[in-house]
Amino acid sequence: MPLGTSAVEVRGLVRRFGDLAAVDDVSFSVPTGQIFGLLGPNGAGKSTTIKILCTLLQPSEGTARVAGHDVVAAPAAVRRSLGLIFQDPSVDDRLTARENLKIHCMIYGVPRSERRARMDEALAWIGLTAEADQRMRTFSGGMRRRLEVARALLHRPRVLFLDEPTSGLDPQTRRAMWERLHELREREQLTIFLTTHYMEEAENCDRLAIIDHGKLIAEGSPEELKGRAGEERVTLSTADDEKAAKELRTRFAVEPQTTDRGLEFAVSHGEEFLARLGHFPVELRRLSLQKPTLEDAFIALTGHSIRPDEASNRDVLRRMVRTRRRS
Amino acid sequence: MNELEAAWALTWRDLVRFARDRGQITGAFARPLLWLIFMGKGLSTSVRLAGGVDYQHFVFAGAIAMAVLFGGMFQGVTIIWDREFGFLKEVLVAPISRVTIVLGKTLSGTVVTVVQGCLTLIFAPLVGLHLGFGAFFALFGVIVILSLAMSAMGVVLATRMQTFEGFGVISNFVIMPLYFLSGGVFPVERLPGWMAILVRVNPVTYGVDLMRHALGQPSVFGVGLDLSVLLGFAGAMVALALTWFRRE
Repeated sequence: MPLGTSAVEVRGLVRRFGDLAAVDDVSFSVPTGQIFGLLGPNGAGKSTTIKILCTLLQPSEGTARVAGHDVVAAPAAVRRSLGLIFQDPSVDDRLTARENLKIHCMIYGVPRSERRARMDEALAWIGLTAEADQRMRTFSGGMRRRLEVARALLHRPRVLFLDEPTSGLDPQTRRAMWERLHELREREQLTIFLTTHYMEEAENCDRLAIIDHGKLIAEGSPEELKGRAGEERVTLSTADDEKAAKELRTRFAVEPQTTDRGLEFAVSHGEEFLARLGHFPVELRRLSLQKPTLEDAFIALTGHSIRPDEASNRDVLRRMVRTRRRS
Repeated sequence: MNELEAAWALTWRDLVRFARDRGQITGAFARPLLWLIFMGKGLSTSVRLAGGVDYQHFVFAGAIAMAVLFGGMFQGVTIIWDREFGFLKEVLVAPISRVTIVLGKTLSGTVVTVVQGCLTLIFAPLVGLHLGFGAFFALFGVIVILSLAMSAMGVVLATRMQTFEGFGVISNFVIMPLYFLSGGVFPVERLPGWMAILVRVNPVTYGVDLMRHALGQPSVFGVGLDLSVLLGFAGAMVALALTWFRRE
């Protein structure tokens, strides 16, 4: 597949279950080599979308193409070009790690002559060479997940789909997995498509689409989306706030407000602004820059939190998120 | 080519799993022994059968049917496990057809079940039954066809069941009636009318009857009818499994 073409192309996708439209007129495209995330709360339509893209579910309306193949017209070609990591574990824990890989090679038609090399390479890559011939029953959740990632890549897919890939994993395993995914993207020009409801995970994506109640709400890089959530805010505490305020108005063209924390004002590019503060004539005691988080962006765009139980206390939550971010 | 290998992959997996499952292997040994020794010996002291057949010998065909019925159904129904523990998804999204998946699963069920059925054959000398080559191979043939039918039936039921808890229901309302009304436990010639009808409707009856032919015991139907019904039953189950699994 030539570079620059779309690895995933979705146009007007609808999937109904009875009266409910789980996916409601969704369109997006993912360029080759990108890490694309579908961000939304549970039940937003993420899994339904991924199931349609992986030919496990038929769309009610609209079209979807993966690696150039239509999911309805050419499901076999789509399946050959994708790797899939499911939300729930899907290894056979009565078999060994190597046996799980072997079965994958057999059902995905990996050429016989290459199997051994690819399996050895995969096991080495995920650091399970020593455990290769142990039954997976004894494996930890993280080890199983690693094997699933390696397994999904054995047949050299062009697009890797991950449905909530790191849910239930400890932070360390989560980080390690993301390192591997970034490495793969660099090395193989692999397109990675994932669904998530974790903001930290979404931060890893090149581009995000926010989905809520089956509808696509917004699309852009994490930075762009955060930018849409509102401005960045600087809080200053100085030896002489009055003088500082005057200085800010005249030399920096910002409109500071006096609060109990000092002077607060909005800027468009926080880091640049802070760099320019180098020769500020008033002694600075405390300085902080608050950037909108993805959570802020999500709330601004959808009107509620990604975690439904906290949606009612939106403002409290927003403050909490900011505090956490600052600390 | 790839489809064949994929079917074999699924079969191979089930064989490996069976070989590692001590509980299932122990059960496969214990079940026919229990039936042949306890049931057979226990009843042979008080039951007098027409034609002077020893009950221990009479119940031999029943013990084989028992092993095959439970074994085959259980293997087919393991699809529910695969669904619950996620492995089925990995298979469903592979670039292979549904037909391949059903055939792979049915084939593995058949092989595992044939092994279980044949264990019963090995115990024949324990009850004083000496099988010649001919009888052995004829029984083996019946076991193969009946195993195929029951594994496919297990797949059929698996497509209709959401959780594994349903297996208890299956065993009570499907396996038991099929077994008790098959002529394996008691002779079926002099049953009341309604029961005789159920026996004749039950395809397993014809498999048991075929085994009686092989064992040289009194039988009810001709070999031709027995074999046709048994093959038809297996074919119908495989066809039904293919049709219903397509919707998975």
